[in-house]
Amino acid sequence: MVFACSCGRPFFFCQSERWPDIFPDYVGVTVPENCPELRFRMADGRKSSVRREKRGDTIFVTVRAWDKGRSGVEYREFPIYISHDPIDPYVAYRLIEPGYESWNYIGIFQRNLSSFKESLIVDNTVNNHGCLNCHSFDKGNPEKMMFHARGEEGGTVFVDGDRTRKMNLAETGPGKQGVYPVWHPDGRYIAFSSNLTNQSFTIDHSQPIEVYDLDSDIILFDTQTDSVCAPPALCSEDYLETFPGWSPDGRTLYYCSAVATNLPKEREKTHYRLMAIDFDMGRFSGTPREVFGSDTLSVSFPRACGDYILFTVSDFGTFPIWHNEADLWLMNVRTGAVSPATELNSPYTESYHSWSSNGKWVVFSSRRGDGRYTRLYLAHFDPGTGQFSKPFLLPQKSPDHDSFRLTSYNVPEFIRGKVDKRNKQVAGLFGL
Amino acid sequence: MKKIWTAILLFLLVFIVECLCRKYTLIWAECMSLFLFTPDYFARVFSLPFPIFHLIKSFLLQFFGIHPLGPLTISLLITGLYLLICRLFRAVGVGKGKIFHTVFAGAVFAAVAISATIPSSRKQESLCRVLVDTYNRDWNAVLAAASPKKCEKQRELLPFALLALQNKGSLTVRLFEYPVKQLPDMDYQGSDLCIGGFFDAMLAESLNIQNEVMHGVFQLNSERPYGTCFMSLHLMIRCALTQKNYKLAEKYTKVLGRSPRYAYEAKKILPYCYGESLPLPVSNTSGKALLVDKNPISLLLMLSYTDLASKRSRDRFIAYQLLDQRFNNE
Repeated sequence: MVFACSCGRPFFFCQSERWPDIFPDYVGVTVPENCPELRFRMADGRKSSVRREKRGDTIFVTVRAWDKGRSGVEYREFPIYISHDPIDPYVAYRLIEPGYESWNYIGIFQRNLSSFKESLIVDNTVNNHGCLNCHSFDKGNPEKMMFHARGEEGGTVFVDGDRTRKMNLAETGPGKQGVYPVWHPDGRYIAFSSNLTNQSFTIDHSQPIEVYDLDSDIILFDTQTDSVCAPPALCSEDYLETFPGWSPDGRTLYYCSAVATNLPKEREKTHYRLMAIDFDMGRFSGTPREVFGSDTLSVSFPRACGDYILFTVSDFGTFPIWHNEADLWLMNVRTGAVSPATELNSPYTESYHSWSSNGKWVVFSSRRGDGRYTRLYLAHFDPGTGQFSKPFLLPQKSPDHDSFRLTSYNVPEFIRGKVDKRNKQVAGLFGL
Repeated sequence: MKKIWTAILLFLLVFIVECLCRKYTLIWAECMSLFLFTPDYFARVFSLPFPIFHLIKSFLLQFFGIHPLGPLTISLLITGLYLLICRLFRAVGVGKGKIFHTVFAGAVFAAVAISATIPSSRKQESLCRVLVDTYNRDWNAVLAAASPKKCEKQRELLPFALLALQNKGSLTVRLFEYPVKQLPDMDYQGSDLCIGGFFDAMLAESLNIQNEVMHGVFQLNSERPYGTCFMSLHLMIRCALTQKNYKLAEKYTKVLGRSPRYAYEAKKILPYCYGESLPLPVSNTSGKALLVDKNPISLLLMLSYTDLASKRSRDRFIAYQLLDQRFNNE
């Protein structure tokens, strides 16, 4: 017999030694001090009540769940650990439908990490619904950013304080278009990959699409002189060079390189290796050296912070977002040890990632939710041990917020403050 | 009192005209619309000019799929507008007579009747009828609406008629009953990217190339102001269920359930989304997977080497060969 009040909530609850199966999974995660309340629901849709109790640096959460007319269950309380390591106040990302060839609306948004507030930085109404991509900030400075605005009269938009300007990199120096950018730590240079990208679609039940580069090089843009140079060591005809990433001291450029093959036919033989080349006083020196590589793996998006480099590893190719097996790997530059960042990975794709400015947090994109829509996850990092804590889904006002969202999060980047909305200024560059 | 009878008569006449002449146009309008109680949907609507207008329009459109709610809504709106204008005229001291009301109502009706029966509207209605029947996979209805004679007059119906023949298993037998003049006639050649995406998705569904169904649907979505529509949500649910990608099917069903129109239907679909998903495809297999060829003949030939080969794909391949032979010989 079950005693229940009129709302269907039972008066008695059985005790369970199990932790509750909640969505999003916030059991045992580590959050920053200023994190908003983590809101969740029972994964099976049962009604629930939540009691939170803070003891020291841990919040203990007790969940009671019940079905109407059935007995309720009180689950074992689970911890949410609070870290005193500060996190950058905002994260910027692009929202786009996960289609293949075209799009309707694209916007670069920012999210306040101490509240649920999301606000627009710029959207593609400013460039006649052309593509907006690859936003990048100078060391997370909200006043200094760049992104590409494609389409008619498209170009790369640079924002520096109140000054906004547009440049077509393909019309300067070596005539190469910029794609994946990364600012040099001193803020003067930006390394871009320049990619001739193509895509093919699969017929049967496998990954639906393979995106590959028929050609790719790395170029260097000087923001002081507006000049572009294409260093021969990074523009080889026999190799595909892409995904630049600077070391924290700015003296090494990491990038990925693969032997140019006959694509897409030989796509599974295309394995990008993690490479490095020295950089000083605006020039590359020495010969490129291999940092990590394998004939069975392909590396992308190296991002260095402190003694570590975090990068994405897939079976082959250069576009891991469509590779379910893509995972994040961590390399200790000091010891040379490389291993998968097991705590962060899932059977689905893990791809783009960014370090917080103090190197204590990472934000990364993953498709673990439903296999198609990329969502953002945050995780704490302990540089002393090289361990990540359990990642958690970017908290939202409603637990189902992301389930109802039909756009993917792209290119998450931490920023150290709020970016002013730039639509008006950028539209002016396009004569709108 | 007379005015009321004039308004009722106008309402009835408009309703009849809309039912007879614009049934499928209104149903298709519902397929292409979207109204959801989600934060993203409202954010998108309020980023557009005239958001309240968009909101009301989308809210009403979602019910147009239930015939005759579309014609009923249109008739009510037109009659309401007529009464409002009559009242405005009366307020400024004109149009008090019985004749004025009768003439004005007649003019409104004539405008509705003309706009519904002009050739472009009739063509639009024929096309929408074929599109709706294709979406419902009612192939007999498609063939009835897109007869060889009608396809001759309105060539954009032709690929849908051939698709219906393919699904009925009689493409190779009845191909030359239809006015096929060149190889590309087998596919949609019009300029409407939305219909193009829809045709590609339905063709891929017929050939059981589910990856390409999603491809077509996303192409269609990119033409919609909210990035998706009711029809594409339904197609995506269908595709995800066929692929046994239950997590994705559940997501789309839950999104669909956020519309007042489809909340009940979504509740009924949801139990089908709790199956055991197929293992994830990994690159080891996709690295060897056959790639879609832009040449439809090569694509069908490749398809014949996979598990997806079917009578439909063979029929379509033979149809291409027959057409190729005929036109090359000519």
